Amino acid sequence: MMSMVTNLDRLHQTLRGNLRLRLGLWAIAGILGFYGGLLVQERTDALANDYLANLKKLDRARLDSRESVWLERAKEAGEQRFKLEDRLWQAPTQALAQAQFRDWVNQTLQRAGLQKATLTLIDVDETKGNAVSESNSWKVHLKADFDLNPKTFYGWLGVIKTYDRLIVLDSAKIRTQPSPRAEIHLVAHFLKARETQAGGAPASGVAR
Amino acid sequence: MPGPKRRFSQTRQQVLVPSDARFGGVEWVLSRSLCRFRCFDLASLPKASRAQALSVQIQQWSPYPSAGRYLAWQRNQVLVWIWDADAVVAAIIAQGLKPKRLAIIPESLLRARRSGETLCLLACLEGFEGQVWKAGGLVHSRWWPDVPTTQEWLNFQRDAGVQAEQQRQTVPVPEPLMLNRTPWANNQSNVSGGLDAVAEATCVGALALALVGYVGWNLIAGHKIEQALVDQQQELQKLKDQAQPILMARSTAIDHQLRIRELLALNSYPDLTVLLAAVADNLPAKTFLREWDLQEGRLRFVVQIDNKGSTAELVKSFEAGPYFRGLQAQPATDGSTLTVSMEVKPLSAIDLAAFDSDRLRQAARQPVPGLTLPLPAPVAVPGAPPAAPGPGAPSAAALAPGKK
Repeated sequence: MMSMVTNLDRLHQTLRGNLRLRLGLWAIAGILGFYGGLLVQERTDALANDYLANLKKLDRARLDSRESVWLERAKEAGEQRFKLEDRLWQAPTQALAQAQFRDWVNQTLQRAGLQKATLTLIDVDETKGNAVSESNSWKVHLKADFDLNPKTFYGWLGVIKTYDRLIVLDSAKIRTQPSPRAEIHLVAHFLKARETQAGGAPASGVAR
Repeated sequence: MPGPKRRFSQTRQQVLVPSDARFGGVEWVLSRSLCRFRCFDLASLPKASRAQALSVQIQQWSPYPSAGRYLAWQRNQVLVWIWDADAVVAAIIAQGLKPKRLAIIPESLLRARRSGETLCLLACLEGFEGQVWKAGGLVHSRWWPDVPTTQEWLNFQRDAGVQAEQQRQTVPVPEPLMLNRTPWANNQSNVSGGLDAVAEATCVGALALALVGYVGWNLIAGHKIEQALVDQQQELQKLKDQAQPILMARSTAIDHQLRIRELLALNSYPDLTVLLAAVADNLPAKTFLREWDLQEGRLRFVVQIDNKGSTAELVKSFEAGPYFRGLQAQPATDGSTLTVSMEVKPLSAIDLAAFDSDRLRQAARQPVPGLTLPLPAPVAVPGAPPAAPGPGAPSAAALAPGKK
């Protein structure tokens, strides 16, 4: 203990008599203090940046909380969406969908009086075009080949156009020589239904 | 103007305690009998090494294991008073004082400062002190317990280097004890190399103050920002709660919109009846279709024409319409037929409002029976019998399955 006191006293005496030593120690202390100050400032800056970032989030949240128009927009968009989806066909399986569509087209061709009609189902995987994004959906591609009679042909086209389910005329080949003949490719988009409904009931009847 | 001070005076036998003042700073006056004095001349040393050299010289000169010191610099000389620090500190502690909180001043420094060359004898707290001043600076001092004898006085003068002709043969009458309020020279024991202790302390203090201020300001600012952040988070959470239904509605609306686009894209081209009507609208009279091939937005048709000079007009009229672009027309070598190829515009690229055609608009909206198209019977098939009229043109409603 005494030696420590003696050493301390000696150190004190040395410091009192050595300006360079004192200045060096002061400089070290100053650098350490300044470094500590920089660390504190860095923390303060980080907090300030957080504050500014939160300020932007706040402004955004304020704007969001005032945009009540989205409630109305969502409602309108939903109505429009469901209206469009109502035009899609529905069937519980892909095979049944193909059968339903084939029956419907065949029936309309007969009713229209189009002669020598043949229907060919094209595999879904072979078709091209836009697909409905929902997983439980597919499209049925059907080729209708028949003798062309303009009057009845237009009537049949009108039926397709005005039917409440969507039928897309994908391609059409018409020739008048040597005998009038038309080849029409039709596409029907189906949603998977939970239960079988005759004639492909509107989507709204099942999926709501 | 210094404030009131309590002044303790220590002699070899006792400590004189002030009785009047209880407040103010504390001074500890050491009687001359407790001090040793010497004037060191450092003129021959460089300024940078004077302090260290002085320290060594004092250590060599000091008889005390631990010496207190009072240094007064005057140009290249330094006046040094030293004392037994252990004994003085013990006396201070015995009075209930803290040694580090009071100034220890040898009594010689509280006597009057002389100017010019002076030889004087002073009555002290204890004993007597002889002083020799030259050019306003103290150069020699000696203490006697009693008034010195003539011989002692002469020896003192000789030790001080006083010229023989200037020496005084008689011992002067001692000047009475009268202590000033402040010493005539400040203690510069912490000073070395000419740097003033006060200046050093001031510099270090100022820098430390600046550093503390800098750190403190940042700490306070950080604390305030932290508080603000807490408030901000609370407000943000509140606003998020308020905006949650709206955000969900926005997300739902965007989902609906994407789905609507997909659904609309399922039927991206104009209806076949519309295209037939548009073609018929642009064909000249007495022109009949022979072939029609519509596939993936590309349309190719062959028409039988009897007007050989109408090709350019035909192309112009098609290009002016709303449904087609990239049109190419190729007449047959014999001029009897014209093959037309074109690209069908998708529905998203068609602006019907820009075309003043009631017929097209009607066809676009309601392309059902009644339109006069280039196909209606009789289809001109050279060499073939006229096409059968068929069962007539039933309405769409009549043809729809399930509707009777």
